[in-house]
Amino acid sequence: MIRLAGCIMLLASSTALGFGAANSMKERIKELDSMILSIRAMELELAARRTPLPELLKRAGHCASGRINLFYNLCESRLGKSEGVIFSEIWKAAAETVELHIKEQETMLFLEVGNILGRYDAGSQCAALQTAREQFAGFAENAKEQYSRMGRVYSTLGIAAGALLMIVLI
Amino acid sequence: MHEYGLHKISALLPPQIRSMLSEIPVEFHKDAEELRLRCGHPPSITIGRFEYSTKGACVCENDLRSVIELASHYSAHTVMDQIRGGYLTVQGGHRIGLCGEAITEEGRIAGFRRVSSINLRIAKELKGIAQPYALSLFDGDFLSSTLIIAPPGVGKTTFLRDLIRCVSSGISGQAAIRIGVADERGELSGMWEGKSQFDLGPHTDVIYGTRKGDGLIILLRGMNPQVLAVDEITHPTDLDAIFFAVGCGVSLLATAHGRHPKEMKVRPLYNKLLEHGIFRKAIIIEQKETGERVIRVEEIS
Repeated sequence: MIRLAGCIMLLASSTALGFGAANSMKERIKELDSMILSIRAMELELAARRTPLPELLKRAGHCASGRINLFYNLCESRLGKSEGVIFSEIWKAAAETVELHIKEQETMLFLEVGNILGRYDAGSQCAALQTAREQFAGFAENAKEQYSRMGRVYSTLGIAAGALLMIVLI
Repeated sequence: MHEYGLHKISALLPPQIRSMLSEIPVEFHKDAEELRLRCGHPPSITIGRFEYSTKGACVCENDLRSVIELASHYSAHTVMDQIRGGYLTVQGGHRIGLCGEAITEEGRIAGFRRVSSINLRIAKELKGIAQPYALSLFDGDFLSSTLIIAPPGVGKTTFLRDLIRCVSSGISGQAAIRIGVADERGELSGMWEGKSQFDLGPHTDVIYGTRKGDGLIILLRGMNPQVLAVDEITHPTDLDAIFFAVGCGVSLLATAHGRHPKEMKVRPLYNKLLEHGIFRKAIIIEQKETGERVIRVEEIS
């Protein structure tokens, strides 16, 4: 009886691991899509209205979902009580707090966006944001392709590994 | 708590600069007129002709960047036109002068690659300083066009600001007068989010952020002023607007760097104004060695 319970637990955790890995890929896609939308919103705001940074973050937050939305909200609230901290530091700290699912290279690019915002004239910021957005679009495409290829594999592998262990142990 | 001197600008400073300034004796805080931050040197404050430097840590490029970020509310793109002009007017009417490695495009400054020093001029509002002199500027009911002359940093703008308030509010025996202020750099009004940070009186209209000449014409066209006020006439294109305004029967209040009307005649711009009799009176502000200001009114012949 105990052995059976252990086997079921093994199967469940192995399945969860597989689904977790697939879900993390899904979250990464969502975050990248959210980033692309929010960066696009900032580009438009800057080009059309030269919107000040606090409002820009609010608008970007409205276009984002999940952790990216949380990230912008955090940035905006920390900006209000920054006490002299430079913006790129606020951006970096918020990204660390929120713990995004994106990969290292994508994180580096996202942090670079924090070095651009509010520092230059609107035209230069728009140009830099457009470049970043295009790069994020490339990352998102890769992530989607990877998910369609590996997403089911991870889930199936999780179940299969659990089942295999169950057979071995029984 | 009443805010003065360095206290007024502390919100614009990053914590590291604030801690550097803690070295400055408290008795100097109140009278500080400028805060100077130079890359590689400790911060200093100016009081009158004297500059007092701290002895400790030096200012670095990141400190200067922080000041600009804070002053522009993290939005340099909203104040780029000012930065191109080498200054930044901030909340409270204070003005940040910028120096460093300029970027030029087609012969004009497009921005700064690196800022190497900052001069934060602390705006002052001294209500009542112009009151004893304001009445002597009237010729019957008519306010004579007046030029306020003083060397840099002696208080021309502060005096003009109070003179505008006095005239606009109406001083003893005189009715209140409608004044239009062409405040190109926002120094007179300290305009912030559509509101004047300084009291310029109840009958004052301010146009801010445009060239003085253009501002004067817009005021004349739309606001029907009885008096126009500008701080520091520096551009030849402003002259046409001034001649036009005075030709319409509007009085002019203006400031100029200098010591005496006679000295002003050396400068072509002011020579033209004085030759055409635009200004009838001059208010001359001098600063003694002790820092005390002496103010007198003279007729311009």
